Amino acid sequence: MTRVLRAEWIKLRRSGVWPVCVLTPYVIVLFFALFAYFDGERFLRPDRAWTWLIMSTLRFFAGVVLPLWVAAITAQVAAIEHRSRGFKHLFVLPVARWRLYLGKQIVGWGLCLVVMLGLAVALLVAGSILGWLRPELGFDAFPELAPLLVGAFGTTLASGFLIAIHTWVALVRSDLMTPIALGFVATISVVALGAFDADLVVFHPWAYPTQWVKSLDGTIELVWPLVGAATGALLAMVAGWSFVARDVET
Amino acid sequence: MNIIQTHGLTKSFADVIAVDRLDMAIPRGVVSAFLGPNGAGKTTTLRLLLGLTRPDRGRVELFGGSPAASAFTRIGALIETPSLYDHLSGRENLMATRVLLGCTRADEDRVIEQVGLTAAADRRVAGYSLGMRQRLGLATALLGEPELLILDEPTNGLDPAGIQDIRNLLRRLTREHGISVLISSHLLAEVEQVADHVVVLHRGRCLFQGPREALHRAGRARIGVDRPEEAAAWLEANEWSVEPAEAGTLWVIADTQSRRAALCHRLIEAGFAVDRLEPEVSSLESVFFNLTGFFDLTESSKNEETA
Repeated sequence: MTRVLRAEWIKLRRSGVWPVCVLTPYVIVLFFALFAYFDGERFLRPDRAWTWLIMSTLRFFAGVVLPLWVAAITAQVAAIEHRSRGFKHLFVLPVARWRLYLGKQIVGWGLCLVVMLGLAVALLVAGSILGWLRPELGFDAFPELAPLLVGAFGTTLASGFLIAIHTWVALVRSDLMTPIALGFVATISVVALGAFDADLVVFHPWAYPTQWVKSLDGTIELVWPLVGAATGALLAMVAGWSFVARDVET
Repeated sequence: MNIIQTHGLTKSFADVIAVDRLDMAIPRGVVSAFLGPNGAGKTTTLRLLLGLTRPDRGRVELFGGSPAASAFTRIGALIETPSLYDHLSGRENLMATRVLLGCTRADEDRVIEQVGLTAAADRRVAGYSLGMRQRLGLATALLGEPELLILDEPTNGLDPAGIQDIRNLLRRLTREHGISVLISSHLLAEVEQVADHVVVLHRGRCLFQGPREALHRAGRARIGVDRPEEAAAWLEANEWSVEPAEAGTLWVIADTQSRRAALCHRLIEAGFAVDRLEPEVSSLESVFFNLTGFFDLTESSKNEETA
């Protein structure tokens, strides 16, 4: 498996995946930081400034940005193989096909963790800059790192189902449109369902990351990362089984 | 011992039969060639051999047994266009395969040198010409020091010098390293120069298989009989492919000595007087067109009869 992951690492070099991973968290955090900078005194309590920045950004990220980002990034990772017609080469190598599939899944999870850790770093950087530029807002004391890291890891695990289904769809469909459309439809449906029925939305797999992030502000509910990871692993197994048994068309 | 053997291999796509009951044997240690026009079923057959496509019926034997994962450690393949990552350099492309195969950096350098890509190895593949891409694809196939190399139209896009280099390389791999090579081609000249063993495919059917020299003698034999028209009708009724030739003679497809002997024997038994029988020794090109032309004629007459 190490060989498969090393090969995946080589393929990601100079691909469009890394700029998307690095830029996405900074763009989102910048949006909230600018909001705080220009209008912070109106709604920020100095003792809750860091909490507001972290929780608002995390909620928005987990609810809207992350599902779309997972759709885009898994499609981009799969496109590396589709563009090169790589599967007809990979599938004649003496490497079990399920390992190659698992490699793609692990890349999806890994990139999700990278972006979540990037978000944590971006939040710390943005809060520190705000504390320097606008000391009256309450960003002077540095927040605890552990809850931030727990939030990042938990969100990654809670996104397990999203990562599994998007990796599968992106690998099966060689067009970018299908996985991206799935991401849009699922994200819009979870936002709409959340607006109408807060009880029902918890059953929507795209809501697991948001449910987890919500719980960070009160009693932590480990059920969301566990459910996300378990459903993701189960789906990855079923999808992987179907993927390796199919004919290679390109 | 044969390195590849197929038994009744059949594959259809919708209502098109791409490979039709193919029984084929590829000997070890030589360059073998699939010869056939576009759409003959060459690529589909190669994909079936490599497990990229599952057959509807029939089976494949590799190295004398069922194709198992271990068999693929002994095979290098290049199917259709090479699978290359454009955003990486040539060397990085090889590296991605090398780490999967567990080969060393020295192996990487060796194959780069073998295909003549040393100067361009560190350039991005996006800037490679078609010929360079083909060479890199071939280098990737050579990485694991395979015993069997399966190459789909390996000289596609190469300039004349490149074509010659690849042909020499293939012959050298067979001669010096004992590697068995199976190439597909629609270029008769290529097959003439490279292949020791030839399989002619047409519309998914095997029309000929055997040593290249035998292919020159394959195909037609001219036969002189006392009642040519009657003999032609009798032969067609008995599933021989026949065409009238000049001066009361007939061209009959009889590709082996035993087949020609049987033809003579059957005609005499049927009461015809045979005064001559000579195999046609001709160019590969004419043999190929005779074989495929005869096949098309036979098929169209069958279709007309059915209609």
